[in-house]
Amino acid sequence: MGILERLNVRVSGAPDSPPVMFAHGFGCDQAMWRHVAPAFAPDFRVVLFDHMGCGRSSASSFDPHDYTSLERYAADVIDIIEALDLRDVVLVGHSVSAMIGALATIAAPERFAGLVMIGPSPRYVDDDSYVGGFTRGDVDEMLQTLESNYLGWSRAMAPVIMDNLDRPELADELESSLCCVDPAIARQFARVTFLSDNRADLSRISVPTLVVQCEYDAIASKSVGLYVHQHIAGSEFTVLDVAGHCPNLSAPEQTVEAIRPFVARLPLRT
Amino acid sequence: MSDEPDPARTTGTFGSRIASDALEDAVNDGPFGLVITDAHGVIQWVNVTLTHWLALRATELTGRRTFQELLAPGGRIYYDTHVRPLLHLQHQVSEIALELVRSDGSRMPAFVNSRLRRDQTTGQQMVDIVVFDATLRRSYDTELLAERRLAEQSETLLQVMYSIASGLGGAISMDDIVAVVADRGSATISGASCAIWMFGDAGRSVVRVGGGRDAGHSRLEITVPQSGPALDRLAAGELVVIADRVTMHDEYPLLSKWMGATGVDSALIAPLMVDGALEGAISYGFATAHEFDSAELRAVTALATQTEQALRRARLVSAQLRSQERLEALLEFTDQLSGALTLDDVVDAMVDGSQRLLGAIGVRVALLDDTGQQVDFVRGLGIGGRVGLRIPIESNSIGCTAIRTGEMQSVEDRQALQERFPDSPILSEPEFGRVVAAQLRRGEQVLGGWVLAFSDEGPADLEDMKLIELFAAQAGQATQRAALHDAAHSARMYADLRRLMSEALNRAVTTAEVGRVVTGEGRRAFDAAGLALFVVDLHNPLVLVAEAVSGLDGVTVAASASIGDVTVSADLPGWAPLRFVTGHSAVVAALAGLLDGVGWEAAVLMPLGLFGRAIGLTVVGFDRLDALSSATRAALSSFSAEASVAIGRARRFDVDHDIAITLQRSLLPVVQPLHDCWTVSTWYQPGSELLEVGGDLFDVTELDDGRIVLVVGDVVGHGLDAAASMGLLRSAAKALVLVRSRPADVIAGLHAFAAVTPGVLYSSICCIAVAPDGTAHYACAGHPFPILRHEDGRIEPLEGGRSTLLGIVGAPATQAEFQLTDGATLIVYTDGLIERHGASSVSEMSRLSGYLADAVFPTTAARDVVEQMLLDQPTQDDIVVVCLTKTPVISPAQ
Repeated sequence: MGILERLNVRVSGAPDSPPVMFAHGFGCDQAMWRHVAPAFAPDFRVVLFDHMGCGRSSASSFDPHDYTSLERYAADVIDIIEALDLRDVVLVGHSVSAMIGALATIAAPERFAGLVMIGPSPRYVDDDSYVGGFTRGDVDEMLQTLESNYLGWSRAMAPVIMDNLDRPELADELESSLCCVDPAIARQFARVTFLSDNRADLSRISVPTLVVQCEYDAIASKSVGLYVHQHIAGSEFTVLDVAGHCPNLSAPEQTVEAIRPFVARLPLRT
Repeated sequence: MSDEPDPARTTGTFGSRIASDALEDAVNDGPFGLVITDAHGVIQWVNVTLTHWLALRATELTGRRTFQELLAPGGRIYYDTHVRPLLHLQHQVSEIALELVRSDGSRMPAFVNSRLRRDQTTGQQMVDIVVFDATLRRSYDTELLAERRLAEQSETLLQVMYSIASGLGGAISMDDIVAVVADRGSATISGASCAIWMFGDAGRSVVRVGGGRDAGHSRLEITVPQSGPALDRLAAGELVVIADRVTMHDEYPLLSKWMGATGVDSALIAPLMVDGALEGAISYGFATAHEFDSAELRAVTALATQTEQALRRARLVSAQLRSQERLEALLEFTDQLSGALTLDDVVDAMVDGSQRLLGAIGVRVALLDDTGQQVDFVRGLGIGGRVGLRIPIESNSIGCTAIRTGEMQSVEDRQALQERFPDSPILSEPEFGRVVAAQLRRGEQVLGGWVLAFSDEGPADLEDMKLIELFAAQAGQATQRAALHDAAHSARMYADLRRLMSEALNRAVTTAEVGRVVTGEGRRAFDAAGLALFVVDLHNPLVLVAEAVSGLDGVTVAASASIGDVTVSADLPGWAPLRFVTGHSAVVAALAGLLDGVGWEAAVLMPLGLFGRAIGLTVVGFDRLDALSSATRAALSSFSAEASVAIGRARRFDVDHDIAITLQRSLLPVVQPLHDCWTVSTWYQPGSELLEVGGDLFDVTELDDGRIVLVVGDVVGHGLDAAASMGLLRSAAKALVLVRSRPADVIAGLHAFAAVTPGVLYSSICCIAVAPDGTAHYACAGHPFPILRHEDGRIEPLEGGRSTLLGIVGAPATQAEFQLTDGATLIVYTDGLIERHGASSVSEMSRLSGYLADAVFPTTAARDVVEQMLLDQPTQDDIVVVCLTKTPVISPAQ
């Protein structure tokens, strides 16, 4: 099974146009982009995928000893780009994928035209003077919450979802929206996400970068977003006047409007 | 039916009746929290129950806080990353277990249902969230969860332990055990990385031999102190448990620091004790702090115990296998040595045995030279196989030390070799570990030494050292046998050589033939790589010229060289003793100007001389440095003497031969072109390949009157004397032909000449004069009948004009006449043509007649006759044939 099948890669939009690749964050899958990606389809080649262990990726090829760093997830991103032979990619990464995307541009800068980081955080755990927003205990607690909900809830949840099918056009999507269905993989992804420290990597980003920050974000606070912006030379910083961590879902229009002018300024080949 | 209330109506009536107060109370104070937020989670409204539960005022919440903020941090992440995306995608998410935080910081377990809807008046997306208190339910759930996890864990553990036990059951080597534990051990504790470590280097370091993937491969060596809190605990057979490296830092400072550097926050280390000693450990590492429960501790202890047992078993099996292997290796080596007949064979067996049986990656055997002061590297393989190297015995190399002291030497690695034996040539090699050297001795005589290099480092195993010592002793004994064999072999070789030379010299007469024997046979007899023979120039005794070579492909052989330049010529009067040269560079230097480009490791320059006079130089080259044993040297000296005599004899013959050839060439006639009406052909076939001079003669003279006079004769005897006499007879005959044209007169004159000239006495001779019209007269003194072959093929022997052999007093000279018609041929020959060993003259004569009857006679006719009669068989006598054909001349008038 190739990387494109393994990670459920979907390509749509204008075939010969510059590619925009959307990378979903921890906790969900490519459905996260359902209100954002279509806005780019007329002018761009839109690439969506599910991270290993999420959505409809092939979890059978997941090796817990393999996926122990964000670099590993970034390598998947590069593999997809190479498999599709993409150039001038604009990578839009949400949450942890903002950092995964950054690592991908560091590893293969020649493939990328730009990077959009939505709600990024290079480190979630507080460390000396750095405020990431969480303690180690918080992370452990989150893992426990994850566990109790997967054990108690996720299985019981399925019938509820099925009952809720008053909108049949969503059926396909709902089925895949259990996100990370394998608790072991979800736990691993969570551990890698919330315990990594990529602050030192920020200065190594060389492609044009836009940081999109929600005014009020309980996971990646504005101060963290500013930290990211300040540590990436020449980066742009846009604050969405919304709360929450998922503007791509709660405020898709604003998210699109934040990204569009940045992408328009990039020197893309058409 | 009528008194039953209409459900819709009743509900409607009931609903509308209480909506204003009770319903509002229920929504506000009901046994559930209710929160309405905007799409981003900002609280728009909250009911009283929830404000009571959380001990917060509604004004502190509404428009100021998000629902996520009411959650404990872990839940907050979960809510933002999981619940809200789902809510947006599915519009409804139910029964999420979360904890809310009260104003005093305490937690309230809850179940949360939420719904996304569009507000009908504002058109905004809103989220309704219902919160149920689940304090009791959640503790029950937690217990259930814990039990379930425990059960699952036990089940998993049981499976892991079973899998490990079955894996270890079949593991008989250390590698097997490491593979089983590293592969299956990680499953013992979920999320842990399992590694197996063994102490190395006398406890100074610990080596990760399996598991652990951080560096991409397992092997990792770290230096450890001799003791410390963790090591002491392990040595006492106890587990080291570090639930959180930060809090345990004081207890295990070093370990905690190392864990911090490698990203491990909690660890469990179990000792591996074999026979009461700490041999290694199994470690479990986590990236996060982890409280180990008793089941995990029990499982790891059990795993360690199983591993210890397997290690103990593996060690026993391995020891057994090793001693079995050693015994077999020794037996095989002994077996191999028993087939070794020469010192060469013994050395071969040692080199082969070092690699194949002892597992050395490099081996060299060095022998003491005759002086006992130098060590020659005679054979090597693998790294350090530097054949041709020669170092003084006093060198501080590991091999020389073993040779000098007679004691085995061993160093554990390159560094130790550098420190203890800095002169060791093997230090120039890049890759090796342990090095062992042993002396090679035959009885009390020290022969040399044996150095073995191994790929692994560390002190040599005592049993292995003993094995190598036994090998060396066996090899020493074998050399004794080989020496006896060598001596016998040399004696045989010497005897063979003498016989060979005698036989060859009986056949070989010329210098060229002797040269071929000396180079070809000599090379084979000494198993030499190449052999060259130079001889002193006949005309210039100070110059050597190349005579013959063998096995010198790719070598530039000087065509000639000044004898003064040859390095053996120091005492020219005696033409120097043999000179033996060993070592490639020494050989190259010694042969410079004579042979360039040789790859020999040893060579001998053998001057050839006779009666104190230099006659040549033989050079023998060998590929092997140890080729020049004393037996071989003795045989070479003898060979040199034999070759000198042979070359000397051949050269004297060559001198005679040269003179004879010159003489003969001066004596043989040159036939001038004759008139067109004659076709003449002559052939002279010498009777010996060795001495190409005979007593046969012939002459063809055209006189002024057009007559042709043929003379064919045969002087008695062979060799130089006969040739000289033949010259006299021919000169006399020529003179007589020119002054007395009648054949009878010529023969009569020769009778008189022979009577006073002893060398030509009893010669036979025939003289025939043919006039242009074909009229012919002839006379023969004891000569075979000439033959007249008529044009029609008829054969007629000319039997007239006979007289006795020359010089017999009183014999009258007569002559006879015949007609040589057009197309007829006259054939005159000497008796060598028909007197052949093993055949009668009569039958040979008829064979000749039969051939001539059908023959044609071009200018090569005489040679054709000889070839037809000889049929490639060797002849012992000279043969002369002269054919004269009268050709009809077509005049233009006709």
